[in-house]
Amino acid sequence: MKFKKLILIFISAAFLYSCTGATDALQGKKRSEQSDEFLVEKKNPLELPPDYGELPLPVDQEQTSTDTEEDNDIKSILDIDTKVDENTSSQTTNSVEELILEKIN
Amino acid sequence: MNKIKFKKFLISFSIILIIFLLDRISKIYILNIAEEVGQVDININSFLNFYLIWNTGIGFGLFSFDQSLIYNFITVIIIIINLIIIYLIYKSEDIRQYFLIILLGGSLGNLFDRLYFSAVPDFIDLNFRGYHWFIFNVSDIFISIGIICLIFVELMNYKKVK
Repeated sequence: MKFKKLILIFISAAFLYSCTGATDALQGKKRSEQSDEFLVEKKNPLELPPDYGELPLPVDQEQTSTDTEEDNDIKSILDIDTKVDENTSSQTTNSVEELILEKIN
Repeated sequence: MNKIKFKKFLISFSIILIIFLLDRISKIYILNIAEEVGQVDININSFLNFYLIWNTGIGFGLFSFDQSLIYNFITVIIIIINLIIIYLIYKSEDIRQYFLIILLGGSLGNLFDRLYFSAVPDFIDLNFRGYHWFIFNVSDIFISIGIICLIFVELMNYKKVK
């Protein structure tokens, strides 16, 4: 009778306990297969929205773009050729080089 | 007579409440770490680690299934065992009553987690030279104390009767 009582205590104890095998812990067993309650969510890298080009420009940028357009218009009115400027600047640099070389010699 | 009974009930209830709260505080502390860090793997010393693992089954990792039907069935069995323990506490008069109270306090701690989290968090990992004992919690400690004391009392009574 006592032996039966002891077995009954052991069986009921097995249900009341909640200890888990260490192998489960070392394998990293989760609460359940579907659960991810402590999973750290990874954020996706930043991307440009697909219709970013269609968005209106900010007020400041709009103003600067209109300013550059106005500058171009003035240059076209004055008929200033940038290429000519570049040529002249290269000529001046050449002449300076020649002057230096002459002085050295 | 009623006063004595009420006093006894108050002492029993206090013991159960203290065990239950000790278990709850330890589990809340560990779960808070788990929420902040993502995983609990704390090395206290060469014999003791805190490693959080969820147990959906019963003792010693038995009946750990994801199927809710088996889980609910086990939970019902545990509730029935708890009710039997309460009945035994009410019936017994000697020191066994207090051991059953300790057992009930620990058992209710695990039952609460089974109903609230659908699993019991275990985190105390005792090990010696790479050999790990089952990972358990504070409730299991009190259940063990209750069971060992009950077995001891039963064996002592058996010797006396002989």
